[in-house]
Amino acid sequence: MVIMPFTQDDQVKYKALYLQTARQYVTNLQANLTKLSGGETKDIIDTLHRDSHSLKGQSLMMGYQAVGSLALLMENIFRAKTEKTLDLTTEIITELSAGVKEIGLCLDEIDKNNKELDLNSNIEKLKSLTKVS
Amino acid sequence: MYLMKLLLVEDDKFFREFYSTKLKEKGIEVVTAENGEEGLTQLQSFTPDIVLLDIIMPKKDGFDVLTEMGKMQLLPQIPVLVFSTLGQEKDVEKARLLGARGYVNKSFFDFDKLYSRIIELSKK
Repeated sequence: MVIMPFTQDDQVKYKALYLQTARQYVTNLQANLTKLSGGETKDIIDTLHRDSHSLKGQSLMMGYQAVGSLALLMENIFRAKTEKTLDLTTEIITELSAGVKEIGLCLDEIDKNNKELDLNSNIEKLKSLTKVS
Repeated sequence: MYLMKLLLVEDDKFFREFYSTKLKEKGIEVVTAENGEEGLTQLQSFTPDIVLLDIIMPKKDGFDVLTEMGKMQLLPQIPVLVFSTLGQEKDVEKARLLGARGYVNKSFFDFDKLYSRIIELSKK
């Protein structure tokens, strides 16, 4: 992925806004993944898709490739679900929840130390389970 | 005195605030809408020089907005640039077929390019 991140000024200026909105998406994703255990609805899946899509977009724009990459994979998983090419098994939902939790920890690391965690193992596990890339 | 009036239809708060601020700094008046339904309501109250339109949104997505704008015969006079992100190539093509004049990739940020594109399209 070729990314043209912000200038340093923009990064500093918009970091707080990014963290605020990204953390809200993490909260929403966790809540909706939990709701899935009570039964899937189109609304829940659509919201999961939109939220992972938005989280991806703003993360990549800020230059946060790890969060962006995992969010992109999640977006593609939810899109596959809406297109009925994938079923969300309990195992997949569990792994998605683990991934969202890791994104939350990554945001904390970005906040404190301005760097990301390595999210590759979450990405590889999800790819392996879902065959989505 | 603003250069032009732009309608930004975008559900994500981060992008909405970022693009509003950046465009206003360039002398563009920005009216925002948080979803497609609000965007269409705004289009009933004023005619923007250009629309920046996200695709994936709640309460009418970008495709719905383009379809409605087509029915309202707004597309010949109001250019629409759709926002896309990585992985949305098919969506961009669908938006073009519905009348969008072009797209801006939010993931690969280049504000100067966006600004030039806005100026170029709004003059046609």
